[in-house]
Amino acid sequence: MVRLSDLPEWERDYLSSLPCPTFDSDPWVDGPPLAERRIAIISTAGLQRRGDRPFMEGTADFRVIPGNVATGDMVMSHISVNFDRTGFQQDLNVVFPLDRLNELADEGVIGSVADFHYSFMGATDPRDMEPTVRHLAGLLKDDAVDAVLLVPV
Amino acid sequence: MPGDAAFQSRVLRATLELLEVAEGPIIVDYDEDAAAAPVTDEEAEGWACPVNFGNPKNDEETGVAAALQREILDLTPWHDLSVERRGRTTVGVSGFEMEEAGRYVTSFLDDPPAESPHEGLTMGDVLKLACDDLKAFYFEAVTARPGDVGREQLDNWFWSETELARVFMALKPICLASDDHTMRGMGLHTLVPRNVTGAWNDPDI
Repeated sequence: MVRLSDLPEWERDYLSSLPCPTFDSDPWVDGPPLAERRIAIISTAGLQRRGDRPFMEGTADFRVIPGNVATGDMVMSHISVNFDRTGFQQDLNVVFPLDRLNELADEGVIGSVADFHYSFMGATDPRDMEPTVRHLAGLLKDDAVDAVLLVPV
Repeated sequence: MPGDAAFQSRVLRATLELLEVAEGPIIVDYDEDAAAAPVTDEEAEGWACPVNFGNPKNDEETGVAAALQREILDLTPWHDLSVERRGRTTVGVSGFEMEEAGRYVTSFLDDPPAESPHEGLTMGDVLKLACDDLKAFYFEAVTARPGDVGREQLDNWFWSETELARVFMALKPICLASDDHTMRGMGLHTLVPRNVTGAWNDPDI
């Protein structure tokens, strides 16, 4: 895993100084065993299908990524120029591990993979995303998803 | 870790198994390190851009726009190789072919377009997407050959050796002076990265 000590000084200092949100409670829920869970990916990498609407500054909604999307159809319109994209360019699974998730489903490690996955663009203030996220929660329930893999970028 | 499916699976499996922990909240380290990619110039010794951008330009090919077109052409065979090796490209958010993207971007230096070429997007929106596509094209092309190269090495190559980076630097003040909201945002923080500008206190973008 990437550790703070592995990062350039400016990035380490920046991340270390980010405010950490606090919550009034620490809700905890149980779910079915992992082998029965249906899992969706939610990315903040600004991923979209080629031809879909690109993310722009302040975009707070999400793009839908079908579970059967072709790897070559995936592009990234995250507005930031401050992170290294070469990993994504070489292997989509670095930021969107759909192939790996499908393999775990085939092996029976997880129950199934959702029909749809979702991408936000992480440079937007998360508070602006809240209404969209509440809508998304309903979509996930409709797809019988009971766990999400949050992949921040 | 790109291209290491086994490592990715181990990370993913360890992450998902946290769902079966009985009590929380939980936060744990993942102890296995990915194979280290070179980060600095010294660690990536031996890596070199496959294209020599030092070729003299003929009389017809003078000026920034022509130099950029020449650079794009020089990189195209390497980008073709990248697509062949990886089976995909991440270029394609702007809808432009690369030469077209280059022309659109350099037009802002002396003769900005009168209107956006894409319905529903401002000129600044399209400029941002064209810049991102060109940069993706460059990085995919230059990493087409097998072999590890690190972030710092690639950044040094791009920002010190390419015409495209010089175009970006020339665009920055033009964007800052623009009436277009997206262009001003580009000039402030989404055209040239913090590790090049040194503006560490910029917003988290």
